[in-house]
Amino acid sequence: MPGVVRKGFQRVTAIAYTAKRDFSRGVLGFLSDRDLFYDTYVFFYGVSRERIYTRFRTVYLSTPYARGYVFRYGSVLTYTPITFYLNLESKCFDRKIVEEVFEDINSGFYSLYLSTPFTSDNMRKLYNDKVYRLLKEVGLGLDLLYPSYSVVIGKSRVFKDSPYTLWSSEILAAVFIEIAVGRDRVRVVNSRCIDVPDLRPEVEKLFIERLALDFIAMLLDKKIIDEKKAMEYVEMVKS
Amino acid sequence: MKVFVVVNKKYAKQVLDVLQLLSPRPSITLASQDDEVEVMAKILGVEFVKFKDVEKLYTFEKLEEFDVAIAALDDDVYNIAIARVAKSMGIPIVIAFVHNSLNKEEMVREGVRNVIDIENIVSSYLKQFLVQDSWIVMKIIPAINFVIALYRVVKRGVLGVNLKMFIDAVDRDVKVFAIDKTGSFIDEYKPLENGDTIVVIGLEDKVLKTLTEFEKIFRKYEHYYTMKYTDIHRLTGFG
Repeated sequence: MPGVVRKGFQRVTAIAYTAKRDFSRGVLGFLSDRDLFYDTYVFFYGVSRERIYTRFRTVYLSTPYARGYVFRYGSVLTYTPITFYLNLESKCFDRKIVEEVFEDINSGFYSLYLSTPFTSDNMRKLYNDKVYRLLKEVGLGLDLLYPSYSVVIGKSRVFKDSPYTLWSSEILAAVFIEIAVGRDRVRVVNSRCIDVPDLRPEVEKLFIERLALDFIAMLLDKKIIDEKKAMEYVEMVKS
Repeated sequence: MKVFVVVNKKYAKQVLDVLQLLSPRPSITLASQDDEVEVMAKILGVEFVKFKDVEKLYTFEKLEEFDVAIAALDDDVYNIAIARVAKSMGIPIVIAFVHNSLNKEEMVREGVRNVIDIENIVSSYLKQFLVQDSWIVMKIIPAINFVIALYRVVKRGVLGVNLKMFIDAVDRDVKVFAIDKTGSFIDEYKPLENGDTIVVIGLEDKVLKTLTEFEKIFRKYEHYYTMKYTDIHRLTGFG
C-alpha cells in the first residue's frame, strides 16, 4: 500500500531536479505523499527563462546544467536527516524500492544509496577512461560503474560535508563516505534501466574531466595520495 | 535599530556603506563565511559571526533581538535558507538578494517581501546599452512593485507616431512621457524620432498591460507604413 506510515519512521525531504520543462509528471504524485515527505523542492537547472509549474516549491539555479550543485543546495534547504534526490526526467523510477531504501537508511544499514544510471554511451566511455581508471588504481568506489545516477538517497549530512563537482557530486560523495566511514556504508545498484541525459559530447567531456580533477583534489585533500602521485593522475586525465 | 547582515566578500562593502549612512547609527552584526569580511568587521569594530553551515545560525541566540536581517550572499538557495532562519527567529524585516528573478516567488513564500532583484538590475542596464526598439522594464521601488519602462525609438522613428496616441491609450495610474537625446521633454503632438526615449512609470502589472497596448499601436502604424510603400491594397480589411 502506498504511503504506509510505519512506527518511528522519519519523514524525508525530496529534492527533484530537472533540466527540461517537459519532464514526466507521473512521479509528482509520489513526491506529494505527505506521509513520506516532509518537504519537496523542485530544482530547475536548465537554461529556460520560463517558469515550470508544479505543486511544489521551485528553485531555479543561476548556473545552468550544473547538476552537481543540486546536491549541495539540496543539503542547504533540507531539514530532515534523510534526503532523496530524484531526476524528474527518469523513466525507470520504482517507488517500492525507494520506500524500502528509506527504511534501510533510517535503520542505519547504510548512508548512501545510488541506483538507476543517468548517462549516455559516450559519457560512460569517457568516465571509464578518465575516472573509473583512477578509482581502480586507488581501490575506491569500485561499484561506481556509471558517472551519474537518477535516484540518490542519503543522509543529509553526507552532501554537506562531501566535496561537489559540476555534474555528478554523488560519485564524490560515495567515495568520500567510503574513505571516511567504510565501504559497506554505500550501496550502489547498477540496474539495467538507464536514463539518458540530453547533453552535447563536448559538454560531457568537460563534466567528466572536471569530475576526475575534483576527485584527485579530494584524494589529495584526504592525504590518500601525495602531490607527486596527484600530478601523475592529472597527466593521466589530460591525456 | 539592530541589523543582522549575512554577507559575502562581494557585497560586504556595498551593504556596510549603506548601513553607515543610517542615523542614528544601527548596531550591526556581520555573519559570513569569508575571511575578507571578518577583516572588514574587525577594522570597523563591528560584531562578527563566522559560520560554515546556514543551520549553525539557529544556534546564534541573539538572533531573536534583531529588527532587520539582510541576506546578501551569492547563491539564491543560501539566501532563501537564511531568510527562513531569520523569519523563524521572528525578525520582522528581512531583505534578501535574488540573482534569478524566477526565485522571487520562492522568497515571497518564505515571507520575504523586500527582495532585491540583482538579475533585473544587471540585465536592464545592459539592455540600455545594447537593445533598441524594445521595452526595458526596471524595478525602481521593489517594495511596492513600482517600475519604470524605457523604449529607445530607433527604426520606429519613421512611423510618425506621436506621444498623444500613447497617452490616450493608458490607464490613469500610469504616467507616460518622452525625452529626446538631450534629455528635454518632448511635446505630445510632436512625432517621435530616432533617438527619442519613451518613459512609462507605474505599478508593474499596470505598466506591463500598458506596454502591450503600446505595442499594438506601433504594430498598427507599422502596418499603415508598409501599406503606403508596398502598394498592396487588401480587400478584406486588416488580416
